[in-house]
Amino acid sequence: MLEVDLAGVKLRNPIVIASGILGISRGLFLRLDREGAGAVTTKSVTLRPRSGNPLPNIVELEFGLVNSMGIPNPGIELMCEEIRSAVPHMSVPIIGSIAPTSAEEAKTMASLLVESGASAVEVNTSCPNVQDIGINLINKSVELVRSIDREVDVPILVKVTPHVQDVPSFVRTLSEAGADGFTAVNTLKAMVIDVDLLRPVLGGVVGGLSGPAVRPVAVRFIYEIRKTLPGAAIIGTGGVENWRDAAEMIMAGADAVGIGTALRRGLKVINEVTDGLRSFLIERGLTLDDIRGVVP
Amino acid sequence: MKGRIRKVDEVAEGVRRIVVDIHLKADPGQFVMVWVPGVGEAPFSVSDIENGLQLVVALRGSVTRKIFSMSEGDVLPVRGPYGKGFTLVKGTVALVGGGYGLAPFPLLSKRLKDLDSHITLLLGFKGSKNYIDPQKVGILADDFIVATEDGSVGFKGLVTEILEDLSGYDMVYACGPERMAVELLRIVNPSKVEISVERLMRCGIGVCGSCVLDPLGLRVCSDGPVFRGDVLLRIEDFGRFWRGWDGRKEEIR
Repeated sequence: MLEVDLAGVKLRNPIVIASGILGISRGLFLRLDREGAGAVTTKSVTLRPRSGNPLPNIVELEFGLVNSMGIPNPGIELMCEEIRSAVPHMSVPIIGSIAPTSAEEAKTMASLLVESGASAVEVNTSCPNVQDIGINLINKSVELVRSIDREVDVPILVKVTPHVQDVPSFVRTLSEAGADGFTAVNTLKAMVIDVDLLRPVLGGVVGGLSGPAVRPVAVRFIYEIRKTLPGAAIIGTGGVENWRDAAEMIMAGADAVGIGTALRRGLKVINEVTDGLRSFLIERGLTLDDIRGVVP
Repeated sequence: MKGRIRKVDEVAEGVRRIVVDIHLKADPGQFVMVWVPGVGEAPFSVSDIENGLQLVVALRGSVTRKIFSMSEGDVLPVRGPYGKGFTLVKGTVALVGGGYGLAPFPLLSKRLKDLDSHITLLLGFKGSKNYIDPQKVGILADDFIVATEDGSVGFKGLVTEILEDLSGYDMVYACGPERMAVELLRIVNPSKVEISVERLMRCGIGVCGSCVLDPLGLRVCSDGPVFRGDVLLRIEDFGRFWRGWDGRKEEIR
């Protein structure tokens, strides 16, 4: 009863492991599948290997995490090898996340991911922790999506930064360029200072805030995107810790729900969320379709 | 958490015992992430928690170099403890350590002694200048055997060569170079050994995947760092590969 159609990709349940979280190796793809995820997103991949930012890369706060990983990844070639060896053993789809520097790179990486077995491509032009890629390419998003759309047949999702001002016109433009859906939202630019030591904690100085603190922001984004584009696929992401949070995102209009920061409490969280959602629907005699975008 | 360094002792060449005024609860085998502002962050075994947090720090990279330049009174920020530690077994046990891999043994030996276990301590070092006196770091043991590769202290050879018969132990706990751990798994019942594993870590809390062991997708920071031997035998990376900062596998030399 939790099955979801995400722009034509079938998910057994709406819980998607968010990009940046664990999706880096064959073993982890398979493990997240076994732990009950509906889909797994890869960490964002770049054309060449990338070492990421200096440590500390993470600060734990009572209401979330601030991270500045800086998109560490082994490069598209090795990531594709991991996907290729995992896919035949997977019962859920892999969404390949890319952090390109140009339309040419976007096209190349997207087609390599699809060839390797990725069921959808997510374009990350919203990572706040990098200088050369991520959010600094947000103005190129349309161009990137257009070039990928010409190249691959799978759904294209755009990872949306919560720094976008005019959500309706942003998503409408991308939808016209060929985006099938949106993953909303990425982390919110943030900074943490150690007042005893008089200095920023993160090695990258500025990072991205995730976790419960950003959830209401994500809910508002999902709501605005759904109102603007009734037919778009939406993965609502940001601070989902339990089934109630997931239900909230679906009620705002999400088809699927990303989970990431919550996994600091263990991978068991995945099943807790899906079990809770299922019980809620059964108790209330509802389906996911009944509650999706139900709020006026 | 942060605290001032209370005591620094050189326990071997390039290895220091550091006691920080931080009082925390931790299980033997868990680790903390130590932040050295301006340089970086690295994981360290919780060596002991009585009378402050004890760490055994070996000079290895930029973080430890900076820690070596610190002295009593300097502030050290840490986060944790993290991970899953050793399973405490009441009975006859062996602690097998290579070099500064003995780091988690002080707390482990105390908890084992709380259960009245009989502890045989087996330590291996390269030579006398690397030798760490277990008493100086607070390891409790009923029997103690030491081996050095050059024979300058104790038996000549590898620590794994002196333990021909480990079948009589209810549990063997090990921490040290991965070569030692691999060798150990050849000579003991893998389901009766627990090994502390080291990998590069970023988050330390199980969300980033940097420390993954494949093909099982185990995260050293949160599924470990202590794993049972029979689990490690199913890890193709174990004893062979280490992932660099970009996630690419590099051969363990």
